[in-house]
Amino acid sequence: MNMLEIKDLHVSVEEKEILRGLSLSVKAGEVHAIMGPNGSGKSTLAQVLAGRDDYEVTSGSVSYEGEDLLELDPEERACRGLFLAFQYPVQIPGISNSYFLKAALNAQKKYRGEPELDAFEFSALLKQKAKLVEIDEALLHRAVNEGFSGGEKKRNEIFQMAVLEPKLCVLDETDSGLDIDALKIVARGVNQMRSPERAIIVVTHYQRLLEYIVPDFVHVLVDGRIAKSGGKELALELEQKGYADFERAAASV
Amino acid sequence: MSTQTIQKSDFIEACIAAGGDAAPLPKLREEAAAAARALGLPHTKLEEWRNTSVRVLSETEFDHRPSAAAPSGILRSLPMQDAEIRLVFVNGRLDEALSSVPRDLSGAYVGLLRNAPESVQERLLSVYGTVADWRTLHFVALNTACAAECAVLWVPTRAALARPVHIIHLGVSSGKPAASHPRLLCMLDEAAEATVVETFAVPGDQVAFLNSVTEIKVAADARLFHSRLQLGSEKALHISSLQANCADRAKVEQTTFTYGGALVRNDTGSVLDGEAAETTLNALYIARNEQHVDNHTTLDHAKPNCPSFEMYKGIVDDKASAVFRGRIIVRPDAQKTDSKQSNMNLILSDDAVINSKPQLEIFADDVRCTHGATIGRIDDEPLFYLRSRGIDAKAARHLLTFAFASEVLDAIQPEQLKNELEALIFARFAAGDTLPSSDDLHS
Ligand SMILES: Nc1ncnc2c1ncn2[C@@H]1O[C@H](COP(=O)(O)OP(=O)(O)OP(=O)(O)O)[C@@H](O)[C@H]1O
Ligand SMILES: [Mg+2]
Repeated sequence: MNMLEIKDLHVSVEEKEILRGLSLSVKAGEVHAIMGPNGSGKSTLAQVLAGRDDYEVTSGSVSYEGEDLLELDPEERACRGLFLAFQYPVQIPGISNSYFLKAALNAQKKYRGEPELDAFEFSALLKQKAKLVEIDEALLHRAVNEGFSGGEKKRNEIFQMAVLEPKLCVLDETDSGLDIDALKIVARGVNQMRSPERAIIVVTHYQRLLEYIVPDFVHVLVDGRIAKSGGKELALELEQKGYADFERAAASV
Repeated sequence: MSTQTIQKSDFIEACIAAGGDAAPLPKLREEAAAAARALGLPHTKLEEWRNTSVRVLSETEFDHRPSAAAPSGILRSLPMQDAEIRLVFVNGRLDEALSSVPRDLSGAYVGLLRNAPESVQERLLSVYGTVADWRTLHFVALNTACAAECAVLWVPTRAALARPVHIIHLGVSSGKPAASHPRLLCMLDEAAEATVVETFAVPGDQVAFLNSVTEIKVAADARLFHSRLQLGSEKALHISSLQANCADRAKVEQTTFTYGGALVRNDTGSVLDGEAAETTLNALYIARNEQHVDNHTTLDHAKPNCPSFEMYKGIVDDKASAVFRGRIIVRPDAQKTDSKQSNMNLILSDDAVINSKPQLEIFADDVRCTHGATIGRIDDEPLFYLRSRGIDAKAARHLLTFAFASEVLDAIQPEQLKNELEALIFARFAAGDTLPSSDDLHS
């Protein structure tokens, strides 16, 4: 069974159709990369999967572990193992990163009927995961993303992912804004999370990330649809040729 | 119309008749009484009182000589209950049994004005009534005419009171609602330092009227942290006037936390009366049901190079209403003034009413004054962010409401007070949620 099954998805925002018949299947254990020009709908797809209600799904379906994902509230999706690393993480002054993560982790564990972590276990977990993504522990005690640099925000997303250990990870341009060292660290963090039970979807503009996180499949998203799918060599091809061919093809549809 | 006038003067007369027997400076009291009579009660045709009616004062029959004792255990319900330096006033009169003043105060004096050491008393009396304007402000006049006692904090030159001073004013009714006129004078000599918490509380859901005046006189290089807490009954009537005067390089950081009260009116001001003096006025007001909270502030820049900061934040629910009027005066002398004002309101219901208005009166040219006001609901983006991590919508909303408040709390001194208020607010907004305890907020 596919973990995620998107069928002919149409999504509009403010009367404008952005996703126009997108289909995608993802199995546990797989890593999929989605590439595509600016404004093609990559973030829209990511946000719709996470449950953002600014977007209107006009037709099509999304099933996650055999259930209708679109019927679930964002928090239920998270509790069932879906995680979105935001392209633009928001800051939340007044709530520390560690409190936020404790609230999130406990909420998820409670939902799944698992025992919550005590203070000692939680702080040990944070320390361990902070080491994994080499995030400065001082950032854990600061307000969520407040005053974080662009790169720190992205790394913080991966840190949250490492702590929450989701089943389906959607990374929306987590590589943009990262320096080369940070990119390697983030990639290592992601690779350590690769497992037969977990699926990962990475949205990126750069083939470079895919040298570190080697995908099983690469999809080209153009104008709200998957224009082409292939193996990791497709990313190289895109790097050389750009999206011009696909855009022409999409325009002639 | 005429009956109303009679009722108004009845209220003022009743206050004056009952008050002030132990108050200092009988002549000042007489003059203030005359001013109070002449001013009467403010009506909503006055610009300063446009959004706040005090008609309830003339329509309520008060007990002007309330004799009720403090309910037992009342201190335990208040923040900073174990402050070692503590004066507790019940309806304007000192309750010695509940108060506590340790002997060694680094030379400072905490107590009643009339018991102050003679050498200091003279100086205190020369300041009393000169900081807050009893000639034109209705309720300062009334307080000056009626205050039964005056609490004093005095810190001598270069002394620092390490421990916070807690002045507690309780309004306690038995039968008719109690009316009282608490008064505090804080005087810091050169380079002195102190932290004061002034709590106004009415137990349970009693109606009581507290008309307070706090005068703060801070000499050169001195530094005062002052917090004003308005707690307890949501039926209480709080009218509170606080005025500071800062000499060269003096620094006052004042925070007002309003939680209780059906009708709350705070007039808070500071005159930056010396070069490079600094004042911060912060506030957090939290109102629900039909509570009404009116904050009028005035930062008066009289001398050059003075920074002032003002952050007023409100969380307003149900049919509650809040008023903010932030006046900033920059006098011709006050070049290089740097003043920042913000008023942010979070509304939690459709019926909440906010009225926010800055008022800048700038008579110097080389100044920087910024101000901004917002009225809004919880933002969708952070809400979605929290939910996308598994926190349910209700808890996420509550957490963001708390987060909105925390910016003001963060500046509160002492730390213990900050933590206690934080826990109070957290419990108010996040009760029943499955969020980690507020103890974890700083872990
Ligand atoms: N809330 C919104 N309101 C209006 N238009 C929107 C909204 N969100 C997205 N869009 C539009 O939908 C289109 C797709 O946006 P999306 O963010 O999904 O693109 P993207 O593929 O992620 O682009 P990028 O590579 O630049 O991140 C864009 O034209 C964008 O302007
Ligand atoms: Mg995008």
